Amino acid sequence: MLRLTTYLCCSYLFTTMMPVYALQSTVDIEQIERATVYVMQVQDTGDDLFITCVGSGTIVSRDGLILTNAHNTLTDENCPGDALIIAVTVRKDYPPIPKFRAEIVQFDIGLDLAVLRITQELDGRLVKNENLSLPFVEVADSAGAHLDDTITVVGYPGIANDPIDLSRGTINGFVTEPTRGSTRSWIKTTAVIPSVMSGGGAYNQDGELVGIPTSAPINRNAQNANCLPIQDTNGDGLINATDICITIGNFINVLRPSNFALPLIRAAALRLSLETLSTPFALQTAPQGSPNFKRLFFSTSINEAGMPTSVVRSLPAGSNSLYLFFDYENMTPETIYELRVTIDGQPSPDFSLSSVRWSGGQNGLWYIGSNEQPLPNGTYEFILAANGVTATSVARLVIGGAPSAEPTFTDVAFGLLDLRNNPLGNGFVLPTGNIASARFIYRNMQDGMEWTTIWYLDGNEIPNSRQTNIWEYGTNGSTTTSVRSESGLPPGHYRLELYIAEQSSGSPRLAATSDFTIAGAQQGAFPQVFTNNRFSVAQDDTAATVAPAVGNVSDQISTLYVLFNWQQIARGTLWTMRWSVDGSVFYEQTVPWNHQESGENFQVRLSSSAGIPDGAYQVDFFLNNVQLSGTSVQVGIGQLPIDRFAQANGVQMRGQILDSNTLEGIPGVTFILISKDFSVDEFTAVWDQRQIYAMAITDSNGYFEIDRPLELTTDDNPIAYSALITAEGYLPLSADGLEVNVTTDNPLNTVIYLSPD
Amino acid sequence: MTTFNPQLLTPPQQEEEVYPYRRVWSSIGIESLILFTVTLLVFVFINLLKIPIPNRIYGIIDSGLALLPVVLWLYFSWWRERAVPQPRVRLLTVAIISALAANAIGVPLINNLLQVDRWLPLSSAVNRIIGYAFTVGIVQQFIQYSVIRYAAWSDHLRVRLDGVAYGAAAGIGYASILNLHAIFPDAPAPDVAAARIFANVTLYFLTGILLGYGLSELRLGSPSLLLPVFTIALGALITGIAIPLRAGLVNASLNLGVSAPRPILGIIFSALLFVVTAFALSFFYDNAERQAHELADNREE
Amino acid sequence: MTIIAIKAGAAELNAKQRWANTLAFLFSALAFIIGINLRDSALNATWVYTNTEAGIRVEYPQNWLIDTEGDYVFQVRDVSQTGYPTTIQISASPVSLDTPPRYIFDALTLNRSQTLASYSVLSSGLPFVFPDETQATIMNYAFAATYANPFVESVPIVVRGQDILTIKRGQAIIITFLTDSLSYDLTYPIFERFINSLEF
Repeated sequence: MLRLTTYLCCSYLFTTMMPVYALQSTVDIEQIERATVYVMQVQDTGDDLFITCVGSGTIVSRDGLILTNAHNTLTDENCPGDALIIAVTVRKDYPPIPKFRAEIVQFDIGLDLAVLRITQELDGRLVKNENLSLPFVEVADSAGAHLDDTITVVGYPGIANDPIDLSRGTINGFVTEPTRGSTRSWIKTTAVIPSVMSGGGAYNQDGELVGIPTSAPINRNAQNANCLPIQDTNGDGLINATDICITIGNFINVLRPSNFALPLIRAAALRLSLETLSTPFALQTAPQGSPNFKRLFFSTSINEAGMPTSVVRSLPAGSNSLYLFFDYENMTPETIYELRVTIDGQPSPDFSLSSVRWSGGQNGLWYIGSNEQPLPNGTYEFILAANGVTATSVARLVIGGAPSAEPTFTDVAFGLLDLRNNPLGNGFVLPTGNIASARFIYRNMQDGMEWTTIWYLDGNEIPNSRQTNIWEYGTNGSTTTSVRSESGLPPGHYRLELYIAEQSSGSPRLAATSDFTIAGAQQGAFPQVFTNNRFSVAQDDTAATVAPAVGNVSDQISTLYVLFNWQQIARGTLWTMRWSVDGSVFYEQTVPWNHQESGENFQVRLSSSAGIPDGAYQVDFFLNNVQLSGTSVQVGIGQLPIDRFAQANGVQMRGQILDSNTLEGIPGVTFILISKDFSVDEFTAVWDQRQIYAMAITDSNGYFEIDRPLELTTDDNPIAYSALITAEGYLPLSADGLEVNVTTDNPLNTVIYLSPD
Repeated sequence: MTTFNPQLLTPPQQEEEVYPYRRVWSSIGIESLILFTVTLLVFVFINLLKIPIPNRIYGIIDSGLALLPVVLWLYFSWWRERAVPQPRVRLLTVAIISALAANAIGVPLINNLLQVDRWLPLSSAVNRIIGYAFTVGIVQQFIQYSVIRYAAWSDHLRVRLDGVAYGAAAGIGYASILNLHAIFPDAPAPDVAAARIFANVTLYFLTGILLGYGLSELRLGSPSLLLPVFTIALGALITGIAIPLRAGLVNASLNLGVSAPRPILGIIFSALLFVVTAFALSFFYDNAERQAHELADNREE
Repeated sequence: MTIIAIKAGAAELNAKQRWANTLAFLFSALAFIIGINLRDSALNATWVYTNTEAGIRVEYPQNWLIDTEGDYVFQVRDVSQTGYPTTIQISASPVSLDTPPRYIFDALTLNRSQTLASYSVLSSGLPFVFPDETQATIMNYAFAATYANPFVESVPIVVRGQDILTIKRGQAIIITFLTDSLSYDLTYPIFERFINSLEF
């Protein structure tokens, strides 16, 4: 009995003495909800403002940058408004309240992303962005997301009295497209996301933004468009179909990975804008027909140039990588396209891509695929649709069974052959000349089999390039094939197709294909396309063309020029210009070349209203995703200034100050949080603003919020704040040694009673 | 022969000497005890038992609490005068004039001219004591002194305990006005109101009695010229110490959770202050009375 | 026990009682005056700010929060005041000899109207003379102060302001006084004392 009693007592004492730690919140939902805004595009009619489009957005910097979609913010025929109103959630469980006006500072129509900056209060007064201390979220590296990760999507679900809402789900797939050379163009999720949440944020378990829910823009004039008239915009006293309506789409299940947003956010934060000054040779013509897809085929992987490494007709069981390639025509940034996949006749949401905005060019080669998901066995059918119209050609593939033993050609790479017949070069951009060669790997071939090579230039078969030969190179290995032209191979977009005749029928099947580009003069085996790349500083655009090249700029500048000469770039060749500062990309765009074939002093101007920030700037040039050249310059100290407010981590402190007599909130009381380096006595000896970490004033109900998160104290880095509350008529309150750590509630809510004397 | 000698069945009754005055100390003690009990009960109901009281009836409860000291004084002090042979007839007059003077002179002087709210709460501890003594303390002491001096002096100070009675009357009048100012226009929570009312009543009872001692001694004894000055100064000092000390005990300590005030400490402080000071004053009164008797006895001899 | 019978008519004070009463009155008056002085010294206590670069020396109210990091020479605020903290600020900007004060005021008005709600100039061009005979011009205005934090429910406060502008050594020196319009008369004496102590 004594032993039992002793045991029970000891157990009781032990458990009561054990510190009880609060369960650490993995996602600070409240902070995220405050950083999520309701974006309204409105039309200013002079007398009134009418809402034309709505969506969600996320504040990504404390000075008022908002990340959202482009389709509901840019002015177009679906969203004809000309101003943006930002509403925030002031009270949880209540609809958001319009507070600010914003302007678009960065956007990418293809990615359907836009970055807004808050510029005015709702009544039109200018906002000093440096004085804003808005709650914001940190944007994560979306490459760190994995299948089955839990994500939380936050946004506004509707246009009625809907408060902010969240939807949880998991990541059930990734979609790869040639967008910006990324391996993940879309993140798919099981979360149920209403369309108005488009533009909001999807967060990982650490509360970091990993994706942006993105719905396809709704054509308000389409017959089946869900467009709600809720305002009497034409002033006829009736609300009906003749008034401007607000489009509401269907549910969303795809997210734009946050990595696509980072360059836009960087450029917006640094207030940088780029402008190409060189005049285009001719304006790009509008497409002459409706969108079209053709030459659909499959590959199991893509190389660094975005080309298929192989062409497959079936895959063995256990495959987890598949890409659908196709040629496209007459596509525009306004085109809505989708991929519908069925497995054994059943729709497969895991491998389909719901309606999204086209992010490619007008014509070219595209792919959609994934290499991170196991592919179940079955017969797959891939159907593409553009603007709701399905393509005529359907691609089919069977997955299952043993690996195929049929003859294959893979890994086509291009170059100029050396004396030992080895292709030299970068693989996919060749200099102009008389010959172009390709090397490829073959397997399971048999001597005597018929095989065919066809070369194309800009979609047209090169005369006399089609050659059908008998195979004589053995079963496995690599070989080369070439195309020659006595008059020279002009710059342009080339393609090689390799066919193998079917043993059973003799008809040729596409075994391998790849595109490459010929451009630039020959410099050994490498093309010399962009030359004399340089940065320059000048007073005006004309002077910049003759100004000397600079590698280091120490003075404060607001404009920086980059210039280069170019040689033999055919019109339509996809070229990419990528800008980065301190190793982080802030601009990248791939467009068809639309200037003269050769020339000098192609000029691009980088400017900033606030002055070009210090940093190491780099510009790189690509053709068909192959980097050919670049140049760099150091501005100022060669490093971006550290933004001491860049971190959103820490404990958010807020609370209420009450009168201890009346128990009512006291408006206008100042709560002073003193920096960790000073005590209350030291502060009150001088009352210097520089000693203050943050300050807040109570509102009409006595509520206050500290706008800077409190840093956590650790054993290695102890941080203790001091606080002082002083109000006329009340006894002051003060304390030193206030610490917050990982166990502190976040947000931290305090209730403080002030006593009248 | 039979003789008739009436035998007394009961012993002859001795004549009892009737005390002609109301027992002042006992009245004050009873009133203070009742007030303390009520204050404590309100505190227990609201803070410990957490009995919810709707905000809309705060004003009614607070008004009752503010009037409670007046009602108690009227019954135990003023009304009971009718039962004694030598009643104190100017008690109500002193109380009313004290209240009127507080409302017309005291409160406006302190709030509007001295503006204590603007600088005293934010001063250091020593400065607060000195500041309250030379502002709130000196104003209320002077007003009470003047009321007793001109409303009860000199014929109504027949015995030293008359000073206690009239001092208490001046105090209750002054305190009642302060209590009403504390609950109007913003009616505080009843526990806060009760604590504040108790603090006001005890403090002004004490300072009034102190002044009454000085005046009665001046009337009946042979004190120093400076005795009234001393009582005014001491009363102001007690006020100067009591107000910031009580406020400091009640005031919350700032932390990252709930920084709540501690009204119970204020109640205990006020009660202790009252008990200790009342005993001290009672000692002074008794001592003075005893000395006067001894002097009278010596003269007779 | 001494018993004194109540007779008609009050007993006369003897000399001692008279003197004691007089002393009590005198003491109370003296103590009250000390109380007034304590109040004045508390409310009027000042600290000195000196900026040799700007050539300014001034006394500002003690325990007001001083800020020298903004786009002004310095700014002090009474953060213990509930509602809008009374603010006094000195700023300086270069001007030419030909720049009239009216232009500076107009520039201020145009700038402030962009950022301050309901900004309204009440009067402008009123003459003012510093204690050291320096000539200056006054502009009075009002606006509604709002809080930058959109997540709290703050009611705008009507603020009255006064700018005193003087041009010295090629600089426009603007001394700004801002306070809640309801306490303007109460707090203006603080600004007057500030101005009287200003040396530049």
